Amino acid sequence: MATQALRQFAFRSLLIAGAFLWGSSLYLLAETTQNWAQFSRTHEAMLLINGVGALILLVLIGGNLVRLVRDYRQLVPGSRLRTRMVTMFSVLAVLPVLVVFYFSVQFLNRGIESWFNVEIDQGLSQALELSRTALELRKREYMERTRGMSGILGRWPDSQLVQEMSLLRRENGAMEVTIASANSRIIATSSERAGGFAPVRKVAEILLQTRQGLDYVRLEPMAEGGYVIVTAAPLMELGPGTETRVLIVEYPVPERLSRLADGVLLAYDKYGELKYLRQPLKTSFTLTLSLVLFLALLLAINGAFFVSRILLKPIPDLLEGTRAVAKGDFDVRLPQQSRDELGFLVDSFNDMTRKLARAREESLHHEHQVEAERSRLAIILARLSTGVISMDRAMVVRTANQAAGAILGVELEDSVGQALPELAREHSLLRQFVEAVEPQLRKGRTEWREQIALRGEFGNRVIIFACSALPGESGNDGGVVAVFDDITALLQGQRDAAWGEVARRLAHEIKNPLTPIQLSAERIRKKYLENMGEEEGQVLDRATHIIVQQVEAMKEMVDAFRDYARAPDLDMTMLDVNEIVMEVGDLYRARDFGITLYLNLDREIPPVEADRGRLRQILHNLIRNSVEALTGSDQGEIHLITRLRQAEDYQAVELTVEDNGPGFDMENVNHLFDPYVTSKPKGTGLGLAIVKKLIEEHGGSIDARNREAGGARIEIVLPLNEASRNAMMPRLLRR
Amino acid sequence: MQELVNQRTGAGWYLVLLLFLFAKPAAAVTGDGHFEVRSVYTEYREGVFYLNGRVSFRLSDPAREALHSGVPLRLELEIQLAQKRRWWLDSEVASLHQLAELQFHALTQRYLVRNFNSGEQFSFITLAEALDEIGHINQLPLIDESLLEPGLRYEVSLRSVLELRDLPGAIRWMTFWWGDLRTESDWYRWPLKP
Repeated sequence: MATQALRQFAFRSLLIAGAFLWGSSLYLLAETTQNWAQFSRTHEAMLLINGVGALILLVLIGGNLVRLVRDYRQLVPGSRLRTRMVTMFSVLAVLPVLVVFYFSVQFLNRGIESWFNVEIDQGLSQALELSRTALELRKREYMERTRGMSGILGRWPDSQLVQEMSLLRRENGAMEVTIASANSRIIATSSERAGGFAPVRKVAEILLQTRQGLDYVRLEPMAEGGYVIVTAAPLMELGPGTETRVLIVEYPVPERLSRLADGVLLAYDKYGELKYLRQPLKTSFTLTLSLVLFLALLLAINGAFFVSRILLKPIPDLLEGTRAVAKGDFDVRLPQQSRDELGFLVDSFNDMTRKLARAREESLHHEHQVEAERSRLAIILARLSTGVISMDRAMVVRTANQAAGAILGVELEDSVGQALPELAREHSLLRQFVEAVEPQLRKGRTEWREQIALRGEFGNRVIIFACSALPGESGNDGGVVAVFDDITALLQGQRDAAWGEVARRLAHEIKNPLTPIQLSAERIRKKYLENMGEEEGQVLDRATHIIVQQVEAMKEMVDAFRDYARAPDLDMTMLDVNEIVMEVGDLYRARDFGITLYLNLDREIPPVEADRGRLRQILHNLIRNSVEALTGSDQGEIHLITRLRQAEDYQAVELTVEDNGPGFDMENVNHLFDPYVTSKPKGTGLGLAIVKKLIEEHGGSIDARNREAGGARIEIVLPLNEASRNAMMPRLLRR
Repeated sequence: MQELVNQRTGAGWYLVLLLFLFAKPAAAVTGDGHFEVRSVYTEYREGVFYLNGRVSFRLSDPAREALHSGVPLRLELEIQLAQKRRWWLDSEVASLHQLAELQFHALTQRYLVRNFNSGEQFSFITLAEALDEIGHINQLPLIDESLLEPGLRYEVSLRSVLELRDLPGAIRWMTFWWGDLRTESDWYRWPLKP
């Protein structure tokens, strides 16, 4: 972390130093055009720095451009807006720069051209000419002096020349006086300079002119500054044969005059130089200006990239954040980068996501609560023994509990969304249920109660049914809820209890007077039969005999009721059902009833936990009923059938007794197992009731129906053991 | 194949562009200006090698125009003494620069020659005289013999260069493109045996 901060600091420092260096060089480059000498040596370096700077800027712009194009093509969020901003900023930067450039170049050219005009040109030339004229007067004057000196010195012998020359030099105000021969040899010289000076190489030039008899005078600029006027005149020849000599005299130009002449010359030269260099100068200025503006332009374009990146930095974040919110991620928070409108937008976005996240949490909380309530309700519904189905008017199931499915014999919990009439096609109980309910719903009824009788696998079932309308949302139909319960067992229990009470009361109220009645009848017969006549005695004997006989019959009937009312004590053992069936069947085979008894036994039946005596009693009752039903039939048949029933959760033995008799009276078929229900003239009506009671004590079930081929059919289902008994019990209770 | 042709064509254009950008204008190279080392030789005397020679200067029209416009010209003789090495770069032993300034003096209508090495100044009526003065090398001490190792190979190189007086960098840079204001001769080389 610290290394990264240090690196960033170093990078920024380098950047600032580079920018400062560049800015300085740019400034100095502009200054170069004003101060030639000062910045001339650094001009190349400054050009190099600016060139490198321009190159860096071009590379940066190129990189930014490539990245922008790539982002644009890849539809990166914010790239289009950034492209527009960069284009707009660049155009805004380029247009003013171009205008400024155009007018600057125009001003530059006109400004430079204004330096040069005919008046200045003429003025300078005339000033120079004036200087020349002023000096020309001097030159003539000094030439006259030289001629005078040559006339004087020509008369003197060589031995006295130097002395005379010095005298004349001082008198004429000369700086140096020299006499040279024709072959440029210095004959004598007199100079006020220390050590003297002889311009040897100029002697040839002077001799060339004086040899032609011309005067020689020239203005000579001096290396150390100032001017001298060099004059020369031939010396008079001393005689024939003597060599030609020339007198060379240098006169100093007055300092003031020299300075003025220098000033004029400097201005003239400077003007000439500028005039000569004006085109390169203009081009140089224009190029410098162009370079500066080009760099400014590059900086502006780079700045456009930079500013657009800074300004639009929140946009991609906002887009990403919006997409995240659209996908359901409300925990996204955008970094706050500025305090402007975009910053306010980021703030608003973060506030929005915070509120959305809070709303979602509350919604989830409510959903959990609703789900918990629903789960509780589902548990309650699942534990209810009452069936509950909510459905719409078309009987499409919305919810159903387990009890509803168990009562109607179909798994309704997995049938949500399906119509009950469709489901009912394959389920008998449900079909009967739908047939009872659907017409009411079609009539538009939503609130009613009724009792529905269904014929099921184990006999008839009685269902108490209530329907209520459910409130809908936003005025929609909420459908109905059907609540129903199988009250078969309840009704049966109530009936059994009632019959038990009747039997107990009969036993108590009827049996007690029977014994005194019987004893009294026997005493009357014993006391008065001997004393009566034969005819009267026969009447009494017959009457008392009938009384005793009927009392005995009534006693038997009362005992039967007592047995029915009393809960039997079962001695449960593991026994072979087939063995008992064969044993009882053999008893009836031994007696000639004119009826054929068939045994159809399943040899694979395992031992059954049951009371052997009660099982025999059950079989006796059923076979006897069939025998009695077949009395008078020539081809009576009784079938005893055993089968093993293997259900998912229990195993049981099916024991079926069938005959080909007249069958049950269909009007009483629902009350066959009730006491006093019999089709026989002598029956007590307790046989099947007792059988049913014993079967139920064993945890089994009994069902009676007529065969399609004719005759009665009674089917008994006995669970194999305690586990099977417990598994069957809920189904039996719902019957 | 077509791509290859295109690439070659593109490379050719780039080459043309580079030549256009960096090559000096042809007129400047083949203009009137011409410097030539006419004769040069070294002379050994009393343990010192002296240089004598003549260099011919012919100014180009732009240079003449610049001179007569008041722009002083700088003429420089660059003399280098290098040790020749067979398998490596030559080693510079000595380097001399004789710098003279040529100026047209408008007031006197004479050409001034200022020798920066000696500090002398001479004026001439004609430009040819002035250039002749500058191109005259007379007994210029080159190097002391003791600084040279016998048995090694040495080579003396000489060339002359003309350029304008100190100008602002930008203008000097521009004059490179504008006209034949800078002229230089080829290097003239000859061996020196210690």
